[in-house]
Amino acid sequence: MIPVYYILYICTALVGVALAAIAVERNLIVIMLAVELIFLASTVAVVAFIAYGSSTGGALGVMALISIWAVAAIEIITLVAFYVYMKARGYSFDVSLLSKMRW
Amino acid sequence: MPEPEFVLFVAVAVFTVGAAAAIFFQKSLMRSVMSLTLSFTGSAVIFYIIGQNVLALIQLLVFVGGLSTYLIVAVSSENREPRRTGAFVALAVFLSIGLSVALLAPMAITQGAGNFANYASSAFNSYYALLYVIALALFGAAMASVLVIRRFVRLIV
Repeated sequence: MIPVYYILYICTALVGVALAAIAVERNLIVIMLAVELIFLASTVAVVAFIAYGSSTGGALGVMALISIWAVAAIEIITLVAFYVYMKARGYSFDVSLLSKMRW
Repeated sequence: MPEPEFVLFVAVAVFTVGAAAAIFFQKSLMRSVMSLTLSFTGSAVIFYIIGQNVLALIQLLVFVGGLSTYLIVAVSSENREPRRTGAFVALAVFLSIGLSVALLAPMAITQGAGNFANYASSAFNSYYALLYVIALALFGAAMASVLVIRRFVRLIV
């Protein structure tokens, strides 16, 4: 059996990569992809909890996992909506050029 | 001699984190999304390795097969220039190590190595009601996102 800490190290590595991308990157789409990576890291952590936890903890973990999956899926759909909208309007994807959130 | 399962796990872990980092280095947005898809695939293999076959299947079907394909089709035409690669690598390494030390070391000292499951289980049980509130709030946010998307679609179609 793989030690649970090794899986958590993957989670922290994914979060570290994602935070670095959010800090450095200016492209809105890539920033949203980095946010998706943070969701992926939380998914991996919760699945580790389900795999290594008790039966009660596993049930709670599944509830948390479904919540994370739902939000991650919504984030992808929102990302596509943002992309299509901004592309159609000719907006730049450079976040340093965005100055308002009106639609 | 390390066990084959452990070797496979390390290989998949390196692949998953490498694919995640590759999102930043790609010039084409489509390749960035494909890197994210590979990272999803790697996580599904990790789920399989730790014995969660059903969750691995859901991860593959929903995220790799469905949402990632949707995303690839949507953003396939956009290019971008990678920037500040050195800063990204330095920050990613610093944050990864820093988060590991800050989050995992105290848990290892107070709970003992390998007791993450007990720690997480007690935390989940203590905040059971709060988790329901958070889940409902997230559901509300999801519904609000759908409304926003409908508004966007109405504006551009």
